[in-house]
Amino acid sequence: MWYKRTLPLLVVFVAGLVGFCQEYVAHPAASRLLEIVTTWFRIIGGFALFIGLWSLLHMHAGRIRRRPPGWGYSLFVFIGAALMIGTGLYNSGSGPLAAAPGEGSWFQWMYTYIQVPCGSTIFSILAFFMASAAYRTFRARTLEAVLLLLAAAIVMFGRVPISELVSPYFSKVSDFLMAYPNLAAKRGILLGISLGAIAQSLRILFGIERSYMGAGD
Amino acid sequence: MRPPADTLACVFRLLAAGALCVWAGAARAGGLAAPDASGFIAYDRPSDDGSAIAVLWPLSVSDGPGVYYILEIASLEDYREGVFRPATPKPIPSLGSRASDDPQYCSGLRRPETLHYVAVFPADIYPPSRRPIPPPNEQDPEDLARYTREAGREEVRLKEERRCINAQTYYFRLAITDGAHTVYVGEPGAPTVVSAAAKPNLFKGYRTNNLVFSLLFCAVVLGFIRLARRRPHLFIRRIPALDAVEEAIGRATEMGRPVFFVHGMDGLGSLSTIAALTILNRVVRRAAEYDVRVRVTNVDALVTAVSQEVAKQAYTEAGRPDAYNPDDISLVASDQFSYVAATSGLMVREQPGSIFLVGYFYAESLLLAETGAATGAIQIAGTDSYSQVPFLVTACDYTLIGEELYAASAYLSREPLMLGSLRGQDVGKVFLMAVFVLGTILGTFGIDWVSTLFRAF
Repeated sequence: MWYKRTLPLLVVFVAGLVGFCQEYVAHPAASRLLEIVTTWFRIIGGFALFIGLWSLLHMHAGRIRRRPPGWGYSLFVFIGAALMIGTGLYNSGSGPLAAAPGEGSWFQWMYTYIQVPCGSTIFSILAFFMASAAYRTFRARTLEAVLLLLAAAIVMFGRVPISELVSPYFSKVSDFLMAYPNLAAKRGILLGISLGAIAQSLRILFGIERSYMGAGD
Repeated sequence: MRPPADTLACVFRLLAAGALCVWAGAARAGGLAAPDASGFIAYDRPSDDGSAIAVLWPLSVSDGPGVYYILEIASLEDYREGVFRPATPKPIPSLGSRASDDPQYCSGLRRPETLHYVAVFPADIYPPSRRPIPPPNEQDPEDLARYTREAGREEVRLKEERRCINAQTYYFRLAITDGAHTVYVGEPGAPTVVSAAAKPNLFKGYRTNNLVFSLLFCAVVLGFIRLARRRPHLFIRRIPALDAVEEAIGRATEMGRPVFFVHGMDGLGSLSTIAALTILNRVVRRAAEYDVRVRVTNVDALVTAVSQEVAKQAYTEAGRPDAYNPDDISLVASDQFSYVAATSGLMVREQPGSIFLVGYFYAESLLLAETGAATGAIQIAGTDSYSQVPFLVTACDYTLIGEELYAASAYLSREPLMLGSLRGQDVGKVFLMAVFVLGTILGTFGIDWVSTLFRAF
């Protein structure tokens, strides 16, 4: 029990307290300590990548075995992973220990001409999703929705050049809405987040909140 | 016509200051008057890591457009030989560089608006010499490793060298110039020289207010946790999104569909991810009681590992360890839009009954939430990313906004100690609101000590 509960809690408490003090200590030793801790975090993260890779491949291997609907997509995970890992290790014939592959390598080609365009395609869908989400939200069913619709219409219209031709007040009202009511709400949320973060940190530091450790209460 | 009173006062002040300079023996040439030498001081800049020396001097009556200060520095060896070099890359404009411009390091000074201030970084002026390292043969792994090792050692050595350079004593002298004439501070022919050395300081003095308020808030939260031990039935405000958790899991149970728990993009270093893990524990435990499958998607390998542990424990606590399937809690991608594609695909194929989107989200928030909405699932989102809140509010049925995300675990557990901390959090908010109102009223009347008290660096 001591190893499973008390020791991790002690580590969390000491690490949290050191992290808190680090914010207020000007001595270079404090920033050196932060560097060391960050390096360790990256090293541990590197090991966890293997767990993540195992988790991903294990799940998709299971899907290929069970053949549920859409199992064919899991094949692409293996093909994609094999291609990227293979070309990365091959490294244009230099091997895995040489410098990272540069322009013109297969690895770089696949990243630039397959992964980046695919990512951009997904990102571009956002514009259509924004339109559909806005349509649902701006249906004027309640007073709040009407206010939201009005504010959105003014801000959107005030941000396009043609609004200046209709009336210079559109851009002014739009700027006012963004600079005052919108900013005030944002700051309110930010302050709440900061206080919530402190309370959450205290719960974790003092071991009141333990569910994130997988240890339950 | 009578001259205005303020013009007269200004002329009088200029005359008085000029007379004072002459009386004090300050040097002048071509109408230029150097500042009072007694106010020219150098000292270790407080609250820093020992990298800078602060230099202060009073304003001069000659300060104006086209008038500059030249601050010169000399190491001990240079000083013995009478060699000084510029301490700043460019001459210092006499109308700028006021101590009041840098409240982080000068807030403790009396009337900082009447002083000139410059921070000098000795290691930038006397930089350590970099030892040449032979460039590596990029095709030779051993040579590459040798280069990386030696470059790392050199960086460490340079850092240590800079620390030693900063710790030495440096000598300063100051001159005022209008381009045609230059006058040194001090007696004519014998400029005043001041010296100082930079030292690392222990405490960041400019964060005193931050520390005091943090400790005060911690005391309030801990006080309410203590109070909750004695009075376990504290009143806590309702959070509709958390009341709906039961409804969401119940709906998935009735429909015989899985519950989806989608993590945000941040790793374990983010508090919102920790908060998401605590919510995951509650959701999995409740889902296990109802015998509903929970599917967790992750973008971070460490979060995946911890999520598996959390879910395993939650299933065990619910008395259903057999229901735990590690394949249900998996890393689906490690790139932002690959994550969106993989998670959206899973949502469309598996048609979940309810979806939880919890953590710190970026541009992917609406992509995920809209896909979820299209499947007809009941969606509960929670994020402290305020730029994404509007998207999640729009596309989800319930949203935990900002601090509600951190309150979720306490609210769902209903444990007195956790609820006590929630109460302390609310008291902190009330205090801040009161300060805002007071600060706004006082600020309207030109009294700004409240905003000064809360200034952050």
